[in-house]
Amino acid sequence: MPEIVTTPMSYFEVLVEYERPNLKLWLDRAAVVQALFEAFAKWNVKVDDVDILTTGKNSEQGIKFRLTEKQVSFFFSPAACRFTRDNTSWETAPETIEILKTAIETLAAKGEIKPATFKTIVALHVQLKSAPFIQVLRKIIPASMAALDSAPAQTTASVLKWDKRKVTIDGSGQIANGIFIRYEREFPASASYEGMAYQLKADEDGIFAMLDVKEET
Amino acid sequence: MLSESLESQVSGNNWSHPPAPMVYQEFQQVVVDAERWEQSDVLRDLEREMAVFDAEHEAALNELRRLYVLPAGSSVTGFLRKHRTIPQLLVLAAQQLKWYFGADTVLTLRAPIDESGSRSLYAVAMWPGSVRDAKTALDKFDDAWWIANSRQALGDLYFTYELV
Repeated sequence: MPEIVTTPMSYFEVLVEYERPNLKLWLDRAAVVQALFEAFAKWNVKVDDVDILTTGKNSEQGIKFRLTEKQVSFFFSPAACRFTRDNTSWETAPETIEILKTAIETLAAKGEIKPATFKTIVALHVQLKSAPFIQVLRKIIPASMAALDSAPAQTTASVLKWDKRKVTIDGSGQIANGIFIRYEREFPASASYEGMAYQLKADEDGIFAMLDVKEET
Repeated sequence: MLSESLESQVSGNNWSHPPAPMVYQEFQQVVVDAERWEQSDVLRDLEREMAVFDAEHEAALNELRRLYVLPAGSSVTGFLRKHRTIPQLLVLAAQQLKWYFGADTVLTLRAPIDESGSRSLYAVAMWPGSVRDAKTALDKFDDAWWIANSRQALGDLYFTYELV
């Protein structure tokens, strides 16, 4: 019988690397910023929601938009752009796709860039209501490691990496009795937004099934 | 927890602080006399003070989220917003509860409405063992800590257990 969990915290992130950096985005970006501002208007973006980041490495400097009502941020620099949304869920996935699509397509058209890869991250803090979280995490402790000590393990973490995929499972540092699940997958630029969402949902379902937990409905 | 720093478990966006007002706004205001400026300063200080209180309360709530399982919805957070001394008390209580019930025990907060229509807060230890052991642990918690600290909660907070 799967343990029932809730997801009090989550976020979604996409890092889009361009085929080639466009250094004009450093020097002549007013038209791009204006175009993005107009594209985000339907989500109530305001002038104060636009930040110019001038600190850090060159690749970390650029323009950041915040759509506060949707808890979305969109940052672009000459080499890559990053989209994040906090408190995401599969119910809001169509809206997330709409905002992401608007951001990327506007940037591609006005900023003259071509996406090369989409590196996606979904992170969840799932919370068990009564069973201790270690009861679920115990499933991923290798037997040889558990045998190192006769005392029961108090927590564990696991990171598994593939060529274009990575899964991290850990105790949550943010919520009580929670498990932190972070799964990442890299998609080619040719992938559709709906196809990426479908694949990420399948990844999540696989992790939940492996941990034997189920989202409360 | 183990593999990653805690910062990597969040997106890095801080939504609690709105961006600073634009510089030009300062020059668009009508010039006011000194008395009004004084009043405005008082209000501005008050707003700043309230913002600090809110930030402290939010930090205390985040600490509670790390210690207790909170239900979905606003019943508990709404209650804690109206009873500002209780979050700190709950943080201290969690250490004691873990000591007497065991470090693995899951602690939950609930704020149901009773028959008289008022809301109270319950801190519940989810107990997988026997009733007798739970009662013993709760008695020890009461004697060692809760009786000495209960006055701070003004009768709005209860500690109990639930068998799971």
